[in-house]
Amino acid sequence: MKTPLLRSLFVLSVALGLPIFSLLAFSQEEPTSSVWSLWLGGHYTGYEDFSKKVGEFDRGKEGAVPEISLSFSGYQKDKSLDFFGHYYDPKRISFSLTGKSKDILSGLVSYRSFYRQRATDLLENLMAREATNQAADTPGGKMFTYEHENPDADFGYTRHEIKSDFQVKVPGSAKLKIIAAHRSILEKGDDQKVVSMHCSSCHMVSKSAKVDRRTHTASAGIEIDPGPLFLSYMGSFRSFKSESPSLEAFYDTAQHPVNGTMIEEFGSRMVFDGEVVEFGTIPETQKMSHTAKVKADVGKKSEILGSFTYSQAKNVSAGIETKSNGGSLKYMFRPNLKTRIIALASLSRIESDAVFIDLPSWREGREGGSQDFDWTRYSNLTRTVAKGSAEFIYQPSRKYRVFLSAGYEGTKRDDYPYFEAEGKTTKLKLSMGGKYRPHLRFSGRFKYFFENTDDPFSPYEQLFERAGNTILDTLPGNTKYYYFQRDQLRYGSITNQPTNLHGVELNLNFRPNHKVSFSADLKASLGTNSDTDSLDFERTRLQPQVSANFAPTAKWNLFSSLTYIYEKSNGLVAVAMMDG
Amino acid sequence: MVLVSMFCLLFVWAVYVSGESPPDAVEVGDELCSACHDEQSEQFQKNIHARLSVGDENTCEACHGPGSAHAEEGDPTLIYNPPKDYTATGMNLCTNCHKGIAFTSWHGSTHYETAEGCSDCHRIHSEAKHLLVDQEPQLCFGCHTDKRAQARMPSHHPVMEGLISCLDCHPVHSGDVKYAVGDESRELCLSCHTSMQGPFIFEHEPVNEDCGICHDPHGTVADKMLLQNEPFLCLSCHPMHFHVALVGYEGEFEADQHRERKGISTRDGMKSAMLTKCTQCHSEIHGSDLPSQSISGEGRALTR
Repeated sequence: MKTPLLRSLFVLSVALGLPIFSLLAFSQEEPTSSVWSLWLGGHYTGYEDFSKKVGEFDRGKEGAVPEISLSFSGYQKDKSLDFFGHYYDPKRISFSLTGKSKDILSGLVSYRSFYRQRATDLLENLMAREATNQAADTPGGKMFTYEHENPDADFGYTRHEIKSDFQVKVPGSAKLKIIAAHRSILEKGDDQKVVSMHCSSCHMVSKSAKVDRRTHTASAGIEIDPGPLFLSYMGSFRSFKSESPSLEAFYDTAQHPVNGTMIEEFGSRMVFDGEVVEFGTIPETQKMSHTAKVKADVGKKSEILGSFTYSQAKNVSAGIETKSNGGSLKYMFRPNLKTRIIALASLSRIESDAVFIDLPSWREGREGGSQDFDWTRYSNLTRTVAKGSAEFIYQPSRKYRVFLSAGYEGTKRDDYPYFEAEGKTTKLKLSMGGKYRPHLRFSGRFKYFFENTDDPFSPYEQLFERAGNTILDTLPGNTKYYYFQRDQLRYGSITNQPTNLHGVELNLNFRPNHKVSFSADLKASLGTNSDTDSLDFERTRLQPQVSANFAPTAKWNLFSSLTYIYEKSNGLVAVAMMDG
Repeated sequence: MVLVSMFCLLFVWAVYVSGESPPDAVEVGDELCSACHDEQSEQFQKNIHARLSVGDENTCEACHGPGSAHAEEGDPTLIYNPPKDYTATGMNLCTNCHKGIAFTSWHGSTHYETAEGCSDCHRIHSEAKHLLVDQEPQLCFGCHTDKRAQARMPSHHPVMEGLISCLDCHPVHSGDVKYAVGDESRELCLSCHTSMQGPFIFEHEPVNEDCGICHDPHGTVADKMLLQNEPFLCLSCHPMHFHVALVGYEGEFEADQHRERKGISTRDGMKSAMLTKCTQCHSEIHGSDLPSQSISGEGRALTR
């Protein structure tokens, strides 16, 4: 609780919560039942033989640390109040306070924190110079060097989360409930930022960056439940802002890395050179969403649920936004006590602003130069998504149950063409399975699923190059070919998304008595894609598991489990040869 | 068409199949129930259900249904017993009270239809927190065994450590979409990882598409919950950088135009520099508003 903002949020949550919790306070006249516990202990964390990994949470403060937890649970007639707090180390603290009075009033305030380990990339692989001969004894022009400003730093940041949630049924109207909730996530610490300084030689510089990211979400809504019809509305506003100071780096004057010549030639190909520019800036964003739901009983045998959501996400810094509209319908039909049918359908439309990218003229004033590289960034997020599915469940007796389901998903991207598919991905799904449960001591389940995807998401023509000079035209007024023209020669597409996915799941449970249970599982899947015009992709996954559980008394539970996961992705890559 | 036809036939058939009728019975009151079920009755007094129904004489039958037939005959099949009868009879008296936003999608959801009813996860007569059979994540891992193993992989969300919960992403009673998540993959992830929300001027298309193209949130062997480590993951969509295949100079070197930049190069140095970790240079892989340096690269290399 170091920052004023964090303190303010905490105080605000408690201030909002106090009136609620005071209403929940127990009276002196009614008998109260309560249980509380205080646990005092400690733990030791050592990092010997342990490699910290980038992006992981912290295993704990190194050394011996006292640990405390406190819990309280009390109720009086139809009121209840629960508290749980845990101190693990200074960066890992949590508590929650919940209260409920009848079915009318309820409140929750909670806080939790942990430390996210970012560690340090020492960049030591970034040191190399090209050789101009196979003997590797003659240095060439291309090279990599790096500079680390904080090689001993141990980067990371603490994540604090404060949540509150209050619900009240309006007095005199048990059919109307008002809901208000809030959530704040604060991330504070230091992180590593690396910036590349092209183009005299590839020189990477690592800098320390302050992390001060703040996300606040406020939600409010109502529920109306007048009987066979249920209506709800929730509105939510989320904002994100990074308060970290901007980072700046000096980008070298573009020049030939060895002889220092061609300054004008290389400089005319760069957006900026020989100047200080900012980097690593995270834009301020906001998101507003509205969700309405309606649920109704249709006769005694069926139920229908509809929902509609509108949202608007905005990049405040850049002034661009994404709008989304979506609706869904779910229909459940129970023609008799043995059968159930569930149908789902949804349609959504997302539109993300296009942005015009204004770039300096390429090789301005040079022979054959002055090419215009301005372009419009259309977003692949702009799309229409339609989904539909139906599931049939039949249970002839308590012992057996079978199900069959099928579904469709279609995604039409307006501005991301995948050749021959016009940016459209369609997916068909099928699954079937069953359950056998002769008595409460044994159960077995089986499931098979299959997904077929037509034109899964794939980067567009990224791979391989045709023989160049017979296809490419030189630029107007020029006789040379340039690196960027090679993009036009690429023709292959590649992806890690399967077109066919098969999977099976098998589960057996045996409970000879109420103290002992055994289970065995097998899950396996195979995803393949042989539809690309270049390289096949395959992903295999196999996961057997056995476990045993022994609970001799209500307070003791001994559990052991052995799980093995085998996963293999087989995707070939294209190797750049002959200097690319 | 085959699937559609199959469903139409199943639908028509299902409508005409007759179902079982619940037995006729009337309520008898808690006192009679506790005369035989004295152990459960005593334990039940501290249960939230018993406390909320103070003064009600038919607490047991509020969930078990009318008990006169069962009381007269002593036959356990003549009263509604959720663990045994829930799916067989299609009744679920729990949802008579447990409704609202948190339960709008409960009927027809995977958990509702696959499990044996609420009692698979909730021990209705107990005093446990939320009356759970076991506390999560162990309760969830009981069925989702692959997730139990993934949660112990080198890179994972801190679920096993108790720092976040399965329920943070999976509101099991109200999930509207696949896997009972609260929102589609992208929006669910962005509710915590808000710095990646955008929209950005320069985008990385898979970020818009589905976080699952690169990450498995339940845990992976690779860093940052990536499906594969760099550069292999990147190379599953992109070709290798040019210059990768260059032979490296063996020996000490210094940058001719920047004498302070020096080091030792090896024969494999160019491969090591350009084929170890793509995000050392392309650091803003989730998107950026700032153009990268090369004009011909159109500023979209996500390097700053």
